[in-house]
Amino acid sequence: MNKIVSDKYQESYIEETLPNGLKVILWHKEGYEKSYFVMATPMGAMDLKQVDAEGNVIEHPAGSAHFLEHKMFENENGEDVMSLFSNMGANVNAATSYDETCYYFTTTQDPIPALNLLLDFTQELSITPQSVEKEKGIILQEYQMGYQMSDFRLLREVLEALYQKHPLSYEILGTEESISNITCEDLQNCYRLNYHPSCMILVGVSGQPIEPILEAIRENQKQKHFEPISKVERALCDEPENVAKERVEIEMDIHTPKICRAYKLKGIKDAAVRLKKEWCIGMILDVYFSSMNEDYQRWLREAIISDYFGFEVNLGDDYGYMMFYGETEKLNEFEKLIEETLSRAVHEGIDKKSLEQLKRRYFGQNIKMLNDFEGIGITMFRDAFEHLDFFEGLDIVENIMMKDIQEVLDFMNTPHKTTVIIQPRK
Amino acid sequence: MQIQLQKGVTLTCIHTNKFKDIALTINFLAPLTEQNATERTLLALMLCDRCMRYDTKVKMNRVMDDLYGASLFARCVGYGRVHALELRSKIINPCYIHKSNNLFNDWLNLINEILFHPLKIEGQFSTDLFLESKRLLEAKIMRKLDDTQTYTVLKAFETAGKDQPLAVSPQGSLACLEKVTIKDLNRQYESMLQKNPIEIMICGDFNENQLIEMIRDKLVFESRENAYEAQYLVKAGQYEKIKETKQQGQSNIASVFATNIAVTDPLYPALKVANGIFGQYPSSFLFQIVREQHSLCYHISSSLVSYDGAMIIVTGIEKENIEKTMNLIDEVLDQCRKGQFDDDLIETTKNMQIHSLKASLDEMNAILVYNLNNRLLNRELSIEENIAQIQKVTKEEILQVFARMQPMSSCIVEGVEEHE
Repeated sequence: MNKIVSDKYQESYIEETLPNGLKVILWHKEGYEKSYFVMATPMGAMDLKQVDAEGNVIEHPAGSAHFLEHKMFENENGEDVMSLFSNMGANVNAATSYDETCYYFTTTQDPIPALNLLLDFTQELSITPQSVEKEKGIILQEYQMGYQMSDFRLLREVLEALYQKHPLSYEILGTEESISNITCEDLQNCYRLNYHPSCMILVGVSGQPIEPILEAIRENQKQKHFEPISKVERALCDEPENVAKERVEIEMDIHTPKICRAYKLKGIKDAAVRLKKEWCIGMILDVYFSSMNEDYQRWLREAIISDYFGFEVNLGDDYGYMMFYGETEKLNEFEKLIEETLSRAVHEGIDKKSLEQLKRRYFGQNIKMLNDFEGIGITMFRDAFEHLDFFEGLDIVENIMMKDIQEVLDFMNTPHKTTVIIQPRK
Repeated sequence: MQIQLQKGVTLTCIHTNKFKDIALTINFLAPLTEQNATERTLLALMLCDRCMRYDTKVKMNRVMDDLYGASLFARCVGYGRVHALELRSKIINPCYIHKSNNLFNDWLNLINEILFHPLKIEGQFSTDLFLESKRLLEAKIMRKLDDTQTYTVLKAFETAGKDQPLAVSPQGSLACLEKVTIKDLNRQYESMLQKNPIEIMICGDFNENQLIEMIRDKLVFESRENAYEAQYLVKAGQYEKIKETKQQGQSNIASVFATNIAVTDPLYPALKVANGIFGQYPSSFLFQIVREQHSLCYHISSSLVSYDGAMIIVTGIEKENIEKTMNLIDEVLDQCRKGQFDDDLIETTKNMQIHSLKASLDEMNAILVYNLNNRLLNRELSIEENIAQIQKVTKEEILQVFARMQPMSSCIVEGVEEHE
């Protein structure tokens, strides 16, 4: 057991890797009623192709990770796992992202019974071809729900326009066709390779004493036997530099057009380097594309942007993008604004005063984040999957120097871009 | 601790050392009417955007970042008959900063500037700011109407609560917004400062006496009338069903019921349990039957609109399944009315209610809302007492609750394909 203490943030946690390979991280929050536990696997919607230690390539249909997440909630007695948690006064849920799938619960009672249930239901898959078929109706409704929301649709179209081969071009839920065709066997395969304890991380944040919790986890795991597996990793995608589509226009039942201009960047393999670069780009964009920029007021006045205006930067090991989205009738002006402002940002960078202002802002935000059990849990397992230290991760912002900002400017300069527009239906 | 700063102006200090930040909320209360809602939502946007001292967004940004990324926003919420314009700001606890002596002082100065010195020119709100905020609010309302599920909810409330507060969206309406003038906002602002009952709350780890003195000094209000009755019971008329179409893949339903039980009714705890059994949770009948047994939807739930004595059910389904789903919802409610649920489900539901009450003690925003509710209902119900009330609920009481429910309205937006 290893204890990590931060005097600066006035927090601490312990970590231990169990004999079966399960990594456990427990964080005590003095004075709180609540407990939050999350069990996560690094298998997400991007894992369409995986490679094992012997170099064998395994393919999964689009949407497998998410479909599996739904089916995990069925146990061998045919009981609904959600109801079992409810019986214990615990709220359970799950989420699938491109990078991972996680299962979590919160309770204000003794967390150990619910914790045992979390460990048990994520370490056993009991599905039948019939139960897999039955789930398809529910998932197709979830898919429809997303597609009728214009914000979601905009992001979806952008990722499809940016990527030619990369799994990001597929929705997390898959396609209507892939959902309809997923089989029981596909899910079992996906489960076997990615839910072994040596792949997973369990994070707990609790107001309860940590020692008995750790003991209960050790005891639970001691009683189970897992066959060794050949570890799989996400196969990196050799994505071309060019975008798939330079311009996309669709129609929806909305009042005002929505637009997104996106720029395709390269991926960065080293997680620490990537995280720092992502922060640097985010700060540069803050200075140029938020109300920190004097021009922002004019853009609003001229109705080139509205309150629905923002940007996002996302870097992965084999992908990267910056996107700027808005809602406006002045679509050409919007594109021009993004293009010209970004060009200025890339050529001029930011001054030290702005950097210091933002460092102060994000220091405050990091402190506030430590109130949030879920925020701690998610950041913790994401950092752990990337072999990053939690508190060092928080300190990245403070350690950013002007030379880091200078270095990232070149990286941001890319000719590979796309524009997606959603027009109100005529 | 509660202090009456003036008649009609109350400060509630909630001291806890759990959190790393400190929150301040100021709620200005007024009757919920369409005009009030629209003008005050606009006012909320304008107040938080910039002020006399920090007259550009750039300056506002800088002063907030000087306070280590202090947050500041205003929102409008409806509590039955009452429209609350809430200003909410948070800063990190000064203990995380080396040079922290003046953080509280600077923070309260900023709040003072925003509230008492808005951006005015010759006594009138700035036209630029007014027009900008008007455009933004219009965009916000339109965007909300674009989201079909939200649209069905608003429409179902509008139909069920005709001529009553339930029909009014606390964020205002496009029709009213079109007519609003700067003069209206000047009047609304004066009324907010001079006449609205005010609830100030502060939550976190601080020296109470010191902070109270600072608040007395920086937030000076005249005396005014005390808060008025927020809760009421919406009157159920003839059930009304609205059906519209939209080009989209899914169909959406929102159905409103009158519960005929007020928040302070002795049966209210039973109503909470009844709603938990019926539709609030994944363990509830609606989710278990409509989603799990029949695979008709991804989401379905019911929630209480407590201050109006109403309940709403929302879901999204295939067009072909609208009738079937509506029938199933009726069947589930019928089953509940007949008491076809066991004691285990009652216990499970009580456990879930108790969990969320206890968990609210761990969330700063939930603590603030809980305390505001107590103030609006003019009571001092502790979480422990609230839990005890839930624990005491009997099956008979739950049956009484179900017997009182009356359907009021449904809004169905049928998704159609382009060629239809």
